[in-house]
Formats: sequence, C-alpha cells, structure tokens
Amino acid sequence: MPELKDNPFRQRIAQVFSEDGDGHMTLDNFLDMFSVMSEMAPRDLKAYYAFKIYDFNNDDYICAWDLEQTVTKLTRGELSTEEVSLICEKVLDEADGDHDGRLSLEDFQNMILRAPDFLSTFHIRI
Amino acid sequence: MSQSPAFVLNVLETPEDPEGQEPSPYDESEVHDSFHQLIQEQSRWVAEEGLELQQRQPETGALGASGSDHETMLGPEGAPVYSMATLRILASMPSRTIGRSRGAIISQYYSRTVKLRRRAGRPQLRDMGRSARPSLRLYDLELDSAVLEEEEKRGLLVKELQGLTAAQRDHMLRGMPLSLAEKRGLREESRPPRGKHRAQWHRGLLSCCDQLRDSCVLASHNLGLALLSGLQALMPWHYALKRIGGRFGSSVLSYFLFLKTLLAFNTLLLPPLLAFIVGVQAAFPPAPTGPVPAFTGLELLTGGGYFTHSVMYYGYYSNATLNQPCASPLDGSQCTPEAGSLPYSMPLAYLFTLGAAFFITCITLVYSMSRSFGESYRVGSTSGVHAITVFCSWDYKVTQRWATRLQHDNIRTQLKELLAEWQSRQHRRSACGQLRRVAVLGLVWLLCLGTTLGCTLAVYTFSELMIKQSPVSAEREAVLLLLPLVVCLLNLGGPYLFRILAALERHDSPVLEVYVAICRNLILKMVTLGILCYHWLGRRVGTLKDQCWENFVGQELYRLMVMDFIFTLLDTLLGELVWRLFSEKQLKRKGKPEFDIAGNVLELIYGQTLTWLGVLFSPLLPAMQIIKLLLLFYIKKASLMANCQAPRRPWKASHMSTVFISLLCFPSFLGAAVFLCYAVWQVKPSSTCGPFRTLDTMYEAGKVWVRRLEKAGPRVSWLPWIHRYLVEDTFPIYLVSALLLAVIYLNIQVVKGQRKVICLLKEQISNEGEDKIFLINKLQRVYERKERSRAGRTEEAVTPPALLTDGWDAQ
Repeated sequence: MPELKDNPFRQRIAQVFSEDGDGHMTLDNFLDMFSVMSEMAPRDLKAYYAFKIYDFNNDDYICAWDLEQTVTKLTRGELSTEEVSLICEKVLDEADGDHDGRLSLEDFQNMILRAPDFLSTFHIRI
Repeated sequence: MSQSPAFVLNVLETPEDPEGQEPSPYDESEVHDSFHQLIQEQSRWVAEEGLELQQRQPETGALGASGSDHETMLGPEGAPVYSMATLRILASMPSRTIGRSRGAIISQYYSRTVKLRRRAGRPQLRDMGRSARPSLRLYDLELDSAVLEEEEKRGLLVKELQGLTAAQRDHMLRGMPLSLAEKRGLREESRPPRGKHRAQWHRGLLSCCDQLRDSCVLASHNLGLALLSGLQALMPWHYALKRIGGRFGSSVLSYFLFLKTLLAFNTLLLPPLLAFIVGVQAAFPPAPTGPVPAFTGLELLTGGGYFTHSVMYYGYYSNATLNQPCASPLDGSQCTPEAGSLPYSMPLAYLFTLGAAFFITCITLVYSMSRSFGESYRVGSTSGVHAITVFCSWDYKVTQRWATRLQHDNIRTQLKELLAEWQSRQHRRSACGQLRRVAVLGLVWLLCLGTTLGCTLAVYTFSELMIKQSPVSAEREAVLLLLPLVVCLLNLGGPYLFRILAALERHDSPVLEVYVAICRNLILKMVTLGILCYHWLGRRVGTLKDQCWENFVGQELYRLMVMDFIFTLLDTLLGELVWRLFSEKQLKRKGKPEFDIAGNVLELIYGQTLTWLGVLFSPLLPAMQIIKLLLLFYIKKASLMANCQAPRRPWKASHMSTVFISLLCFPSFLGAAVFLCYAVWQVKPSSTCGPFRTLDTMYEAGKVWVRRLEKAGPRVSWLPWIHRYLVEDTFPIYLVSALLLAVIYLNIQVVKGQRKVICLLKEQISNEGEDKIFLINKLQRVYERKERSRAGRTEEAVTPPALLTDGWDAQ
C-alpha cells in the first residue's frame, strides 16, 4: 500500500486494524482502516483508534514506555535519551489529568479536543 | 453528610453491613464477596490492634506514602508490587473495562442512545445513590447482580436505535468504534420494518401513501448520496491536491486550498453580474458615440483603446430603461405595447445587482470565517504544546520517502526548539538583556514603518506626476503603465527588505516571526492601496471633470491586476527557479528554496482586493480574476514541484487557514466595501457616461425609484415606508448595533464561564485520581497484612511441635 510505505507507525496500524492483532488484514479490516482515516470520520472515532495505535503494549493506557517508543519512531532515533525522557515527562505533565503517570483514553480524547489539527493530519487521502 | 465516612463508621460498628457498596459491572458477585470478606477481616483487625491509619513499614517494594501528593504508578523499575487479589480487583475497575471489549462498547452506546431518547425525562440527581461514582451515573448501569449477555445487550441497542430518527441513527453508528461488518449488521437490523407490518394495520389508500412516501424519501436520500459522491469526484484538481499534500504536507496544501476558496468566491460573484448587467447590455447595445479605435496589442496591458467602449467598463452602460414597450411617442398617438417585452431599468439593475452580489459575498465570507474559527480555536488550546506536537504533528497524508524524511527532520527540530524554549524560560534573561531586546524590536519596527511611509510617499508623488502628465494621447498610452509598475516594484521589494530587517531581531517563537512578517507586509500593501484610492476618488474625479472618470479608474485597476500577475510570474521565476539553479551551481548547496507560504497568500489577498475594488467600475473584472487564478494554480504547482521544498518552520495548518480567511474578510473585503460605499454615496458620477450620468450620486437612482413607487399607488406603499423609516432613519441602525454589541458581550461572558468550569473539572479529576491511588494502596496494605498474618499463623502452627520436641528432648 503506497500510502503507508514510509509511515513509521505502519506496523501498529496493521496490528490495530487486523482482526487477530497480528497484522494480517482482511478486506473488511482494510475498509475499516480507510473509513477511519477518511475525511468524514468523526473526531472521537479517530481519537479512539489513534489511542490504540500509540498504545504499543496494548494495555489500554499510554504509559511512559509507550511515549518513548512513539517519540523515537517520530524522530527516527535521532534525539538523545535525556531529550526523549524530558519530552515524555512534559507530555505526561500536560495531558495526564488524574496524575497516575499514564494517559487513559479520556485523557487522550481531552487532549485531542484541544488540537484542531488532528483531523487534518490523521487523514489519508484516497 | 456523604456516605464515605459512614462507610468507615460501618466498618467499626457494624461489620456486617454491605449496604452502600459500589458494584463493579463485571465479576460482580466475586468482587462483592471479596469486599465483604475484606471488610469483616479489616474490622476484626482494627478491633484487635487498634486503628493505625498511618502505620507504615519500610519495604523494598517502595509503596508510596499515603500523605504525599503524587502517587505515580511508575514503569517496571519502581513499581509497587501488588498481590494477586489486588490485581484482580484492579482489573475489574469500571475504567478498565468500559470502552475495551466489544460488549463494553455496545453497552456504552446502548446507554448513550437511551439518554438520547429519554432526554426530557432525566432522572433526578437526588434519586441516585450517593455512593455511585460519577462515571457509573453517566453510564446508567443496572444495579442488580445479573450481568446481561452481549447478545441481549446487542438486541437492546438495536431496539433503541430503531427509536431514533434516521439522521441520529446514522450519526450514532458512524461514531461507534466497531468494525464495518458489525455496523452494517446493526444498521440492517435497526431499519424500521416496512411492508407487511404496516399493511396488516392500515388498509387501503393510507398504506399506499405511506409506502410511496417511504420509498420517495429513501430514493431522494440515495440520490443525494450519489450526487455528493459524484460532486466529490468532479472537484477540480483532486488528484493534483493529493500529490501536493503527499509531497509537501498540509502547510503548503493550505495555500492551494485558499486559492480554490478564492476561485469559489469569484465564481459566486460573476454569474449575477453576467446575467443582469453585462448580458442585458450586450443584447441592447447603445448607439456608438464616436469612431472605435483599432485593436492593437497594447490594449491587453493598458485596458484602454479598443476596450474602452465595450461591456468591460462602466461608461458603456446606458442610463435609460432598456426594451421599452413603446418607443417615444413622436406623433402623440397611443403606443401599442409589443408582445412579451419587459422594461428593464439599467441604473436600478446596476445598483441592485452589485449590492446583492456584495451582500452575498459578505454573508459567505463571514460564515466561512466563523466556521473556520470554530474549528480551529479551542478554549485552553495554547497549553499542552508538547503533547500536541507528539501526537498530532505526524501528517499521515505524506507518502513520498524524501518527504517523510523531511517530516522526521521537521518534527525533530520542532521538539528540540520546544525543549530549548522551555530551558531558556527556566533561565530568565537579565533586565539588561530584556531592555536590549525591546530596543532592537522597537528599532526594527520603526525602520519597517519608515519604509512603508517612504513607499507611500513615492506612490503619492508619482501619482501627482501622472496627473500633471494627463491628458495622455493615444500614442503615449504606455506611459499609463508607469504607476502600476512603480506600485508593483514596491510591493515586490518591500517584503525582501522586511525579511532582511527581521534577521536583526530574534524572536523566541518562530510562529510569532511569521505573524509579524505577515503583519508588516499587509500594512505596506493596504497603505499603498489606500493612497491609490484617495488618488482616484479625491484627485482624479476633480481633474477629469467632463470626461469619464469611472472608466479611468476601471482601467487603472485593470492595469494593476495585469502588472500584479506579471510580477508574480517574475517573482516565481526569479525567486524560485533561478535561486535554485544558482544555489545548486554556484553555492553548491543541496537544499532547495523554501516555498514562502505567507508571502504568496498575501499576494492572493491583494489580487482579490483589487477585484473587489474594481467591480463597480468594470463588471468583467471577476472573470479576469478567475482566469488569473486558474493560470496561477498551474504555474505555482509546476514551480513548486520543480524548485521548492516544504518550509521548515512548524506550521499549524488549520490555524493559518483561519488567519488567511480573516485577513481576507477584515482588511481586504471591508476596505473594498468602504471604498465602494463612499463611491456610491458621496461621489458625483460623471455626466457624460455610465448609467448614473444625470444623478447627483449613484445611490439616488434607488431613491428616485422609491419616490416613483410612492406615486404609483397605495398597493406598494409598504416599500417606501420601509425605505423611509428603516433605511433613511438612523435610529434602527443604532438599535441593531446596540443589540449586536450586547450579544457579543454575552458570548464573551459565556466563554469566560466555560473556562472556569473547565478549571474546576480538571481539579476534580486530579482529586479523584489521588483518591483512587490512595484507596488502591490501602487495599494493597490490607491484603499484605492478611498475607503476613497467614504466614505468621502457619509459622506458629509449625514451630510449637518443634519447641515441644525440643522441650521433650531437653527433658
């Protein structure tokens, strides 16, 4: 699929949208993925799937380790370890509402509400 | 009087009271029993050892202090080790189960649809048990021990969906995070049953009508969907925009989308003008006033010559009523009205069509600006910039390898800049440094404003010079091109000078730099246009006393537009193509020049302002602007693909789209509207040409018509009444303005109140989180105590036989 060839999260996308979670997608899963990433999908739906994509260990929370993985994948490993951990700390400071050290789905959705760009970036044109 | 202290009291006094416990949605009986056991044991312990709430034992597991503020459950390194029983209870918390499994999603959406249907009959808050947590209250779960199967829940959801309207049902289904196959199934099942169910109850004509109505509604719905998808496919440049978005990202795409928006505005403006003004006059051409000059190539640049006496300019239009039913009665006889002829008053048509077109444009602009503002502005959106950068900055549209690499670099740079900004804020600058910064800022602003003033003076002097040169004979028409040339040169050179000056000042945030650059460029362009407007309406009207000054102004605007287009082409050629070749060959640098989004957008806004200024004097100017925009799209796209790269600065595309469209509305459209209002209300139209040649002001045409209506008879007397009491009288206008101000003030207060509520809710969430951690830790301590006591008892059971044997042996 050329649209996702160089996407750093392509493996996570395949895992999230496939039925058994191992990355093999049927046609229905494929349609699901494009339906969620299209222009018409509502914001809450996109936020739900984005949360699942960024939750690398599938424990329904984005913890500090998940954040480190995300930042490393975003910058292709070119930031130093201290910088990565500093960024993760600041993200948790800003987005963690109940101060339990990780982001739940509600925290994530609350943060997405404040980011009007999300709808235009979490979008694949067909 | 909350029940939680009562809970504790129950523990002390009546250990067997299970009332007021909060149930968990799953594994409820297990949790219920284990809580019950727990309470009994806890009460026994407390009775035996006394209440020791603060007893702590230093452990290697590093349990957090209950009195500390932040109990964070860290990663694998510093995690408190919980016992199996605690983990089991944690796993069955509502926040962990809701929204995860399919059954949980279905039950969540079931309760949402129930709420939607029963919106009027919301249960009173005081009927809810106080021990129910707010999240449970929201989900309206049944508080009995039987847990419904997933299939039953699904059936209930289907029944609830049937009770909603079609639009609500579709909206609810679209938002469900289930797979497409399941959504399709739910939609099929929740379609209202037609056909035989109804035919059994209603017979005869009524059932036929119902069926017909249902099928009509369904057919029209399907037709609407088909049209929508067809329209999307027909959208111009769909593939081109996808390629641009894929290679350069959302920021550069926003420029091309803005170009498309401007094209839409001009396409909205043109048809009424064509239909009611240009078309009619072209069908009834006036008598030619003199010899028409031959067509030379220069007309395309200057707009004069051959074009002067054509539909292009104001002077061509007649001031009489066209297509009169009877010609002037020369012989005094009765005039026989021709069949099928309608008298068409050109002055009225000109005034009203322009007014209506501008009104529609204004409404559309304000609507799109408010919608864009609503999408991009959020209460509290300035905080949380790190989280938003990490989660929302990866653009999934970008597909090319080198473009994704560029995106990686951009995000890395952005994160580094954020960290640097944060660190620099940690070390505050000294007062001396602050003063120096403010001084440099003030100096640069002064220089920029001075440059603007200089450009303005240059334009003014040059325009006065041109007045002295007039009247210009036909051979020297090229001289007329000098003023537009000077204006365009200044508009081209100004931004480069501002960029050089801006290199002196050092802003903390790159976004502020972009805004400041846009501001300065905008001031330069608008002040130049303002001077030109004064020159036309203030000076030219006086000097061209018995000639057609409106034609002249229309031609000037035409010339400005053409020169602007030529200079944009030159800028693209020199600024992008030549710079790329130069930097590759001479400077041996790999990087291509950046696409200057702000500068290009300001160019578009400037061109659109010229169109709006000139519509009154040259009704075909929107057509020219459409052609210009079409050509510009392809030229800019070609240059972008060949020569440029995406900007390195962080660019919030939605934010900038809002800024662009507000700039289009406020200085640009408002300025043009003010100019046209002044021209219509205050300036005397020339007496030798145009539809208003016999009147004092253009607006008088409307007044004359209203007076004629008054004389016409009592049947249309409401229109003159409206005109006299609502339009000419100033009191209603004051009233409307006062109402508008009151509405704006109320909205501001509402937003302030919402901000306060958000703060309070955030605090509440934080407190709830601390409560949760406190309770979990207490739970963990209780279980540990239980474990220890069990270990202690087994030890006692083991050791006495050993002691006895020892004692026996000793004996």
